[in-house]
Amino acid sequence: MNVRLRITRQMVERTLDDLQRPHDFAYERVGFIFCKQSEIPSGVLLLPYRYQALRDEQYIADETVGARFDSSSIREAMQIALTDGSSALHVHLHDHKGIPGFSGTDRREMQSLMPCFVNMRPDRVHGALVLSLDSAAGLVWSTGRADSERMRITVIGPTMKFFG
Amino acid sequence: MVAEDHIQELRPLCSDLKTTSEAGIDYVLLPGLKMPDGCSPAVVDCLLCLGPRDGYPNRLYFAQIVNSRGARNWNGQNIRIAERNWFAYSWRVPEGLRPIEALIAHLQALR
Amino acid sequence: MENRFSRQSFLGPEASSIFSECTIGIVGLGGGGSHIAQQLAYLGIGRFLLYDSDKAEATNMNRLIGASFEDARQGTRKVEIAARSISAVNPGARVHCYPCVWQEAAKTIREADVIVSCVDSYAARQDLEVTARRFLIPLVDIGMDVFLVDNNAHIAGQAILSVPNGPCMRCLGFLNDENLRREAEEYGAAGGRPQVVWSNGVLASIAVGIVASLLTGWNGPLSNGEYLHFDGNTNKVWRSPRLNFAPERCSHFPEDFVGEPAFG
Repeated sequence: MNVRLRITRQMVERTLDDLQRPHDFAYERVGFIFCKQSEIPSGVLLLPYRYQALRDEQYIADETVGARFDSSSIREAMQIALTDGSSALHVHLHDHKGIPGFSGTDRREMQSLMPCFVNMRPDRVHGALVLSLDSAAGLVWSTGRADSERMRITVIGPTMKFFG
Repeated sequence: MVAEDHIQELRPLCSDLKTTSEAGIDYVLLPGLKMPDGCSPAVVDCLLCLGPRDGYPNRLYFAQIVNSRGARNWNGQNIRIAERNWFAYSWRVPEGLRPIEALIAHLQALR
Repeated sequence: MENRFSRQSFLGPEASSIFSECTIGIVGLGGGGSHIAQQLAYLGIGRFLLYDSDKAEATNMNRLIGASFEDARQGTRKVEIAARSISAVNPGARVHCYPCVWQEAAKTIREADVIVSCVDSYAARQDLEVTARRFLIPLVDIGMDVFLVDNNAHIAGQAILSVPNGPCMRCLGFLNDENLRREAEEYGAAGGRPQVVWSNGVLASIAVGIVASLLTGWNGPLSNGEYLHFDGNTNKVWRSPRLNFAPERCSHFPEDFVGEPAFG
């Protein structure tokens, strides 16, 4: 399936601002971007309308990973996706310039998390977005597919950026 | 935002009505609205626009052109609102009316 | 044709691949749109969505780029003329012709990375901008008019860039209730609107320049929108002072105004 994400520069900046905030013990922050999903002739278009930061108290201390978050954060994200009928994208930051990649840990975590969203709302794709300081990459999961697919990302602003 | 009591006044004419807003203008979707006698089709999805738009203080849009006893000038064709295409005739209804009054006044043109 | 884009290498090393992978929707393939289609083909745009229900006729032949005498005689569809122009320059470009008003193929326009609006009414612009905002697509709009003042003809035109979250055409004062009301009152007034090829060409070229900047950032970041006036009598182009007063964030299209409409 052809999945395209169009995200405004303002939302990317707001997301980066949050993800770059220091946390008392978590090495990195994560959040969720919620998207309206629309059909296009070649596939699916995701249009972000809301960024949801995790609250400080929703992080769990775990030195083996960059960030571990509690079940309340996942429940809240799933509730928003269900209530709004939207697609949920888990988002985190790789603090460098250049094209970010999903690490083995990223993929494993998302492979276990995203099917929960898909099962809850199978008429939507859900996925993961990783941002770098100047780039982005994304994966999506959809019903009927065991594995993720890449999504094409366009950042909308006075200069457009294309990734994937 | 359309006042709730104004919306309730419309329900006897269309129980499935819904509201939406686009570019700062409020609309009431009236699915399967019954047309005045003599019209074809007899039932049409309509969209009541409650704000100034296209040079009209308010306007009633139809999902298709309606044949009526009184010939109308359908000067609004393929107007895109809320991701659907609509049609409208030239008919001016004063502003300041309640939605039910505006709707009845617009439908009057088809009698 | 390896060196095809060597003269535009200053647009950046990624420019050619960006252009070739980009989809541009052009609504209206008349005097302005026909210029734009041809120029974008020269730029290297790889995919076009073309919307126009009209056919070529004699009165177009003072300005319809790519149209031949035979096209006017036979009534060739304007989208087909534009497609032919594009393919002649870039045979590899994928061109999708929709010989109808764009609203009748509305879902297809969602695929566009940029929409170029060459429509001929405020009402049409209003509708197209709403769709562009819903689907987070930057919109470049051009138009020209000829006004008679004391029996003297004055040519005026505009080029506007409307970027999602940035000021819209209402924020910029170009679309307003007064213009729309006056247009509705004049609906059906006899006669076609005066149009000339050189003014269309100037505005079309400005639009293509805006598209190129938007896609590549070669000229540094554009401001969050653009509004340029063109005076066809003095051949001057200048930035509208309205940009100084436009809000940084649009107040007519909130950030959550995306996708299919929500009904309550």
